[in-house]
Amino acid sequence: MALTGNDLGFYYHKNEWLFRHVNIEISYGEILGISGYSGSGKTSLAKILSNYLQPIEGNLKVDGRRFPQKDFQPVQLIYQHAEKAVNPKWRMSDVLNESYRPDEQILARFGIKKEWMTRFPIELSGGELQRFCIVRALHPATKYIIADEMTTMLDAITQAEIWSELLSICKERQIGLAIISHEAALLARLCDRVVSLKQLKDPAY
Amino acid sequence: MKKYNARSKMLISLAVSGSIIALTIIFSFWLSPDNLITDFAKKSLPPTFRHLFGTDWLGRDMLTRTLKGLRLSLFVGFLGAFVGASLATCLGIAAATLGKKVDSVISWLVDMFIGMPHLIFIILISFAVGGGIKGVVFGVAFTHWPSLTRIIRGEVYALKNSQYIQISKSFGKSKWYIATKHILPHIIPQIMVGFLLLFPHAIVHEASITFLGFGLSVQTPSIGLILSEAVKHISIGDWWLAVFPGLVLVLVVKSFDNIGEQVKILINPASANE
Repeated sequence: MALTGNDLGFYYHKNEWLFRHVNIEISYGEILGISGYSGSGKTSLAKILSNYLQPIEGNLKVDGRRFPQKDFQPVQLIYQHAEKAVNPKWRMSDVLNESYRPDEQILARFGIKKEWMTRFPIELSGGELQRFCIVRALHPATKYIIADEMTTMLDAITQAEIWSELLSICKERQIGLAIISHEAALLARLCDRVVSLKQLKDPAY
Repeated sequence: MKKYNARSKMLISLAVSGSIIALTIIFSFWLSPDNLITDFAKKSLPPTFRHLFGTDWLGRDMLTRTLKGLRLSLFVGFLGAFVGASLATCLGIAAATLGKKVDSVISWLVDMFIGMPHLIFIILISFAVGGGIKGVVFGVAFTHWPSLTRIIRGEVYALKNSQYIQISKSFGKSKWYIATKHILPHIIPQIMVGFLLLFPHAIVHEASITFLGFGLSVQTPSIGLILSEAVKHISIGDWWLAVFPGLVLVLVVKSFDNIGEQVKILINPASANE
């Protein structure tokens, strides 16, 4: 069982291929690192893997099937900027409940305090908001998580806390995790396997 | 003396504007229609304590005429602004959500209407639908939607592509859910401000086209009519016929404008906490 992309190709401007013939596979419980420079198409690939964007070439399958059309998406994307990923007019409890009702235990694991629940996003820091975004993405039906530069904006201690919890939950639930980052050291530390976007674009490299 | 901060200044200014409008409406009901009976014994009196705004050439009390006329103007303004704002909301949302073709048609219409002088268009429309209150309401509504449409279109467009709405979609939420829970709460303040700022326009345009003789009929007590009749008498020295109604009109319109502007500042998150 895996999330597989075959021969993926994508461009924004016609015939200026951002990437082409990309093959990628993330299995259950696997932690895959994808490295790449800025502008190399990391975020576009992340959006394609999580069904936010349609690839122009190739196809993408979750556990051998197509993505569901309208239901909950089994591949969840976590963005770099948490403050843009939550509705600024909603209280944090509503932000969480839009996905599902997380239990106390998972909130505690990510260090989410009870008093944060009634606050508005503007009253929390980027790191605190990102914790909410991660918990929100850990819906019981989530099978894969794509973390696109998830902790780039955060300090080292917060990064370490968040990653260790996310990694252990992914191992427990056998969630496939793709970590997309420009920081090679971070990927080397966290991942079972690291590929660079360059390699994906050109396997001969 | 205690120094007022921006917040209390704003509240005071909102309260003053609000009470000017409220007083206008209350007095327009309270003043007896008997004051409007023709009485040649009281013909063309300058302002006195009994007749604060003086009387006209038929002996009617000008204060009563002005306030009752203004009430009708407010009503017409409300209808015009309401229809205009509703139109703008529908077109703005349609332009942002129904694809490129609809968008370009609506944008073309917006550009065309913005490029055309208001007043001429209002006269044309109000003439076409047969004049009267209906003519004024339609005239005002159909000429004042474009700028608000543009604002709402831009707002919905940006929201539609925002990350949290994309995420909401990935949770399998329906279009209806996203429209009502995410998009509407963001654009309702914009619609409200647009509505409030349309109001003074509607009132002034109502007055101006009635003044020009294309608007309301002679029997209806309207501020535009009062002003246009006053023109004939101002040359013989009855200055109060034009000055007081004109002043009250400016005051009420400015009050609405002020409320709209203040609400705009209050709603904008960048300036709300100043």
